[in-house]
Amino acid sequence: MKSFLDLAGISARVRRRQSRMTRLCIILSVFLVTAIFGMADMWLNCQKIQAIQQYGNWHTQFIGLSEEDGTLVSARPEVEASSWYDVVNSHLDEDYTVNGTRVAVCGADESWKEIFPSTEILEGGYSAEPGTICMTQNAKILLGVQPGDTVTLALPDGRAEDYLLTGLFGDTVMMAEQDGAGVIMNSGDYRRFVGQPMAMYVQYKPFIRIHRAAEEIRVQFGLAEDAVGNNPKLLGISGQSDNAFMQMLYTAAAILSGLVAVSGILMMTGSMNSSVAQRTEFFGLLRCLGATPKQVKRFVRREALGWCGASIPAGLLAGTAVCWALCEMLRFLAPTYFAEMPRFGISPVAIASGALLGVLTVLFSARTPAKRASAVSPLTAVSGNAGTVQAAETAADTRFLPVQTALGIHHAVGSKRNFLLMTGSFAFSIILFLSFSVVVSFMHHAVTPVRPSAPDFSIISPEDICSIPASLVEQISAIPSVKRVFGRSFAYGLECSRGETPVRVDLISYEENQFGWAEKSRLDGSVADAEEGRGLLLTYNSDSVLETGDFLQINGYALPITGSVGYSPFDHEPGTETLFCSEELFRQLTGESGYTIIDVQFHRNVTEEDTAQIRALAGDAFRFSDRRLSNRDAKGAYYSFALFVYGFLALIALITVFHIVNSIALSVSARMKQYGAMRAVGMDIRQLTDMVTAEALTYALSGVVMGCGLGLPLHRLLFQQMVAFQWGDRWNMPWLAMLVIVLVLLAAVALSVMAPAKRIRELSITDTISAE
Amino acid sequence: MEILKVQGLCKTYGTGAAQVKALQNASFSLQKGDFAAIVGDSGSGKSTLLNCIGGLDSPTAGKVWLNGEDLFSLPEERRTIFRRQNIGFIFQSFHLIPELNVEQNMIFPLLLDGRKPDPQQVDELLDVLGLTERRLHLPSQLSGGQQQRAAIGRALITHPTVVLADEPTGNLDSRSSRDVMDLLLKASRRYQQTVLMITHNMNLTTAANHVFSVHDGVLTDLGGAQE
Repeated sequence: MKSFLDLAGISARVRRRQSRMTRLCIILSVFLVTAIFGMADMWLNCQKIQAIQQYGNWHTQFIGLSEEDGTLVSARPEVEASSWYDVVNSHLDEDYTVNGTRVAVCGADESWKEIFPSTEILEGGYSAEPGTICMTQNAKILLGVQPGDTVTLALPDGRAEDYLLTGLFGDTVMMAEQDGAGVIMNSGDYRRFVGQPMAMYVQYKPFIRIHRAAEEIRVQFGLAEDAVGNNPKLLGISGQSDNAFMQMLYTAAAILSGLVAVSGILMMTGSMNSSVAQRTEFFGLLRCLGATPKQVKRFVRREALGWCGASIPAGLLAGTAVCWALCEMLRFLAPTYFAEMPRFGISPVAIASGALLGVLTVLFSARTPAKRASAVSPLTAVSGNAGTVQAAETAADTRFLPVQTALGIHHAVGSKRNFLLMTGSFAFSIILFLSFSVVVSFMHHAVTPVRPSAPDFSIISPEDICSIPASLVEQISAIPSVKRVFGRSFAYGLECSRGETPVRVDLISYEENQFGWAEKSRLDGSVADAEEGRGLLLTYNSDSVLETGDFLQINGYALPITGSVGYSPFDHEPGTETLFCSEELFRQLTGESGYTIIDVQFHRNVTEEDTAQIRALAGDAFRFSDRRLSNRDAKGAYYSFALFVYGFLALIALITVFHIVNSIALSVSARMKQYGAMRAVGMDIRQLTDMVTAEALTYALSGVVMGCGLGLPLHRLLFQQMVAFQWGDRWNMPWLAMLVIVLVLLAAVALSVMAPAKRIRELSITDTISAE
Repeated sequence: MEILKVQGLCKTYGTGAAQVKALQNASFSLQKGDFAAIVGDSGSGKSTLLNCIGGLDSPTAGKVWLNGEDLFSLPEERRTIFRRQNIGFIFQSFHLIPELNVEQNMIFPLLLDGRKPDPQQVDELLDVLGLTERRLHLPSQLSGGQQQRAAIGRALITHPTVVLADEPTGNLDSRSSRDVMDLLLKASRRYQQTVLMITHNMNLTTAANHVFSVHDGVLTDLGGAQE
């Protein structure tokens, strides 16, 4: 023993059991921070991967730079990678063709692969040589070409040139959806033959202030302000967006992080205060032996830091383990999207923030207990009056309630300071929960889930008529990788009437799958009646003139509207009603037996050969749309966000439960002697349990009142920043979140009473009286 | 040489009807090497007097000079430092730190003062106290007498000017009481320390060269050793 502070370590070893709750608090706080930051880091990484896949790994683009200036920009120290890039005919609406088929044409440097990493070469290779091109993979199916072939690229002005096809790269989302092919040619050929100006796409090195760097480049090369564009999603995820909404999101994130830190501080302060209160005599003795108040403060801080030693690594480990579990869950839920996520990845941000915030939170939390300990009079040790329970200021009111309930409430409210601290910390959990529940609303707006009805592949009639033979459905469903096939027939702009009122109708046929999904958004009436051909199903819209129960005259038939649904996957044209009916009824009404569109959903094991087989079965008369890529992206984004948000809310609920259980356990420990005395004078175990329950409920209920009182305005503020600002929604009272809070609190109270009740039950009266 | 001077010391608890005068105008002084005893009934004000002299409690009025320093003119922080360097305390309930062994308990005040214990001095003190064999034992592994001897060691380790002992034998059997008293006397003589001791036991005052009595907060000097 070299210093008096060494006593902290010795004492901690001896008092391991007593400090268990405080250490658990530290573990939980560090776990919370690590898990939150780890999940946030994981989510940001997912979003970054997705943004790069979708929009490319570039930050700014400069339009109107000369080739020489472009070389100078590329050579700047802050630039990590750059490429010339431009694309024409991306909507396939002009006559840029290869071998007579419309294509999108893009020009790029060899470094385009760094800027657009999603464009992976699948066959052959890319060549920067003049006279060579690469094409998207579906060119193989659409044009029947392969690497090594010579293809003819023709422009709308009639000029044409032959190019050697050197490689095929993966389809892009846009090309897949439009069922078109794309061409990549080197920037030299593009400038010379296509004759379009190219933009320079720039990716900066890490930690560069991008807006400042882009502005410097713009000024240096005399570019107009609108000649600089940026990649908003990637900038937003990198924390470099100057977009007002993103700034709002950053502020919201800062507020939420602050709330987490304060929650940890409150939890630990409460625990440490109890620990100090239980050792008043010890601190008095230290003062008696000559320790100055400063030395006592240092002692308490050292003791707190000592707890960090094992607790912080445990918290870090638990937080990281939760992140691993979540990553594993994501890989399981959306393997295509999350397959590249490391299995046991370590997030340095999460570890560093968990450790740092852990130590800082502990030090900060130790301030009040240290102050309290240093204020203990040396007389406390020698007078024999050291007690852990403060003297009551007023007597309990036993006129209206059973004495044990009145005493329990009095224990809670007897000391104003303690009552405020406990209520405050309970309220804080509620504030935290309410604040984070806003993120759920944000998620529902920002990330659209893929609906169960979303097709992976569609066969579309080019003129929107019922020209696709219905027998194709059966043929396609025979392919093993096909999960579901369903067709729809459309009859646009049918002139009908409701009594004397003329009504314009888009009539769409549904089969059992589609009626099944429609049932999930049914507002009133019956979907089954429509499915069985006894009437029509209406899609609700605010300007609709029809309602359930109306009769509609269609082509000489009088049909009832059997029900209405709130959601339809089709665009609504003002003045036109959208109605669904069975396939049989559609045939009767229109005389059409073919489909306008056939949607296909695949199993996970689908291959390119399967889609080629479907194309072959359908023939050349129809358009195709491959949505697998965009569905995959949407699924990935939704899963990662949902897991983050709900995971976080679950953590907060867990913390709240732990906090309440811990606080009640500490309060009961402090009063064990008193409980022993009560048992000695005849109070039974049930009455004692009632007393503890009354105390816990008093804290919980006052916490709910205070938490909702303060949390609701904060909920409203965050809602306005994160949701209303962008989507214009009105703020509503979060009844569901409040109900969850009350249920969690009640469960926590029930749980918090169990352990103390068991402890009281197991101790004999004499032991209880002598319990420390 | 006057070491301790107490002048007009008063301590009052509560106000109005609930007011209790625990100590009334107590004055006396002690010379270097004096061994003084305070006797009196329970609740007479003996402990209040000792706590005020030791700076553990603040008097309502009056002054205490120790080594010429006015104890209560010092701010709290400096008073604590002065106290630990000049006053050694011995309590009836020993008040050893249960997590520390005998040697660690003894050197603790030195560590608080940022001083490094002299191993030779520690060995010598352990020898005088008869605790050499028990130096690594925890308080819970010692008898009451041994615990009090360790507490005496802790009080003497800093070579304080004054040792204040509040019924040091109150929790001990007669044999242990005799041992502790012998030791206290021996140590005070060896290290030339002034000792002020509270006791219930008049027999123990025989060794004292000054005896005071406290009754209802009033201090009376009974003069030299009582037979």
